[in-house]
Amino acid sequence: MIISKIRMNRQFKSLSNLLSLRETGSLSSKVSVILGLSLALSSKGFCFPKQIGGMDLVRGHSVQVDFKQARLATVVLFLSSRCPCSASHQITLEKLSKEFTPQGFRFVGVHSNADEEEGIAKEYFKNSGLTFPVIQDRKCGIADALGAFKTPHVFVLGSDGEVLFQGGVDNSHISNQANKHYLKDALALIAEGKKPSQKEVRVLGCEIRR
Amino acid sequence: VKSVDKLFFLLGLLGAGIVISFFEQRVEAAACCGKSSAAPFLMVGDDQMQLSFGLALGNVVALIADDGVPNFGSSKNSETSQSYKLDMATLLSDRLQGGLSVPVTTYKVSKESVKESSTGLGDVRLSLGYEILPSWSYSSWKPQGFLFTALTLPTGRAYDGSQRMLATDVTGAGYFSWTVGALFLKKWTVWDVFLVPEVHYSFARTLEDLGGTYQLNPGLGGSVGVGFGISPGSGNLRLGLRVQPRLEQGVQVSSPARSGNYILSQGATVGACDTGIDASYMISSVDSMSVSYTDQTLLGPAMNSTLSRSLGLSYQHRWER
Repeated sequence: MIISKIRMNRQFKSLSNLLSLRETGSLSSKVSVILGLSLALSSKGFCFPKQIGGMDLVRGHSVQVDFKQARLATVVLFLSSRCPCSASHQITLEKLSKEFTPQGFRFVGVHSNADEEEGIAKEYFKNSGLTFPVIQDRKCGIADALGAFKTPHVFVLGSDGEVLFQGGVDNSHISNQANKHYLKDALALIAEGKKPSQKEVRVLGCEIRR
Repeated sequence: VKSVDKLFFLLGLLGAGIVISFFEQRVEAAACCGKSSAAPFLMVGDDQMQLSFGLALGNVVALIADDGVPNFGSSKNSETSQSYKLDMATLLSDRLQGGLSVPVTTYKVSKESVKESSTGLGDVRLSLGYEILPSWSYSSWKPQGFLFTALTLPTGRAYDGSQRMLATDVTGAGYFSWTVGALFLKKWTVWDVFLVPEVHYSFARTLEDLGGTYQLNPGLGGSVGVGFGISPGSGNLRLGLRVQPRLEQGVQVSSPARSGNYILSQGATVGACDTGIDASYMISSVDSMSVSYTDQTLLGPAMNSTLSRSLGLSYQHRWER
């Protein structure tokens, strides 16, 4: 698994500035450093990956996904080989992949669950019917970098790795019972050159074990 | 009484195992603290509705005065309670939830040669909870947080309305009470911790009897619940430990008929501390069972109160979003 070309975002720069203040030693600057550090660490966008890679569990070979290669955005889907909620959304996600890939989106799955055996996961995704790659993220590096919480958890990332949308696929544990389709709506708006109406929504499903 | 105590202790050890269910099953052990306290029934998972049916068996084992020294009393006397409680919570919007709690309690008191028993509806509680810190992405430190408020209705019988010699028909505090508080939860792999601070205000009411008209002013109370738990092997069992000290202002009694609303009694501050162990088991993704043991004799502050030991059992069912 590779996470490369990490860039410092504005919060990281401000953190660097704050840390340099520590040398002055004043109480106010120390307080600022602590506050700045807290704010910087609290941001899940502390460092955006611009590229992810690893073993593709669907095809069994190594794959790298550069976010710059997608014309509009890259859709990163955190999936599980044993979560019923994740399984219930696979057909929906495959349909969305078929519908939106031609419009300029790139779909990639990530399997980050430390409590799920790689061999079982490989067998599961090989037979899942998914046509996009599912990267094995054994040490949860990709999940930690993006702040993935549950499966299925979706991140729509721009070419610099910035988060355009993140959260659940829809508003139900069971995909065919949903009446709000957050991911589909977000992709449709991005395809029209607009921003998603909600940048972040609740994610339902099974917690990713780290 | 001693044999019942031993039974509770053994059951407590055997039951070693609930909570998330600090919220799902709160044992109402303290007859002393009837002015409503602690967190209401809140959904902390991704559910749209949750129901819980609970049974709590309580046994008063000591009386404590303002000197803080417990009097464990005579073995000829006993005071036990058996409470059934139905709790319900439902989503009102993505982050707002409403709840209802309906208790029914049976008290049995035996004093010297007199035995008495009564059953009645307790104080019904309506609540609202708002998820102020939702967990929409992973954080190694940020907790999930709720703000809650609750209104307790005096649907149970209060002391002054008791018609029984040993007051076994007293199932409520007799006051409208308003609670505000917060709940913070954090999980790390198999561990979890929670913090529940709350304050409540019980509204004054007028009491009329043959002696005249009195005003009862119970005032403020509050508690802070803290606890932690472990789910061995990230499995379906959770074992937890919790502590919840609580304090209540004394009930001030005044006489509005006399000039300046003359104060007849300031009342005494009441305190007790629940220490409990809990075990909960997820039977399925939507059903769970809980067992809890609560003891008020272990930690302070305790003053002007009865102290109880109690065992709680509950069953919860959830409807996922």
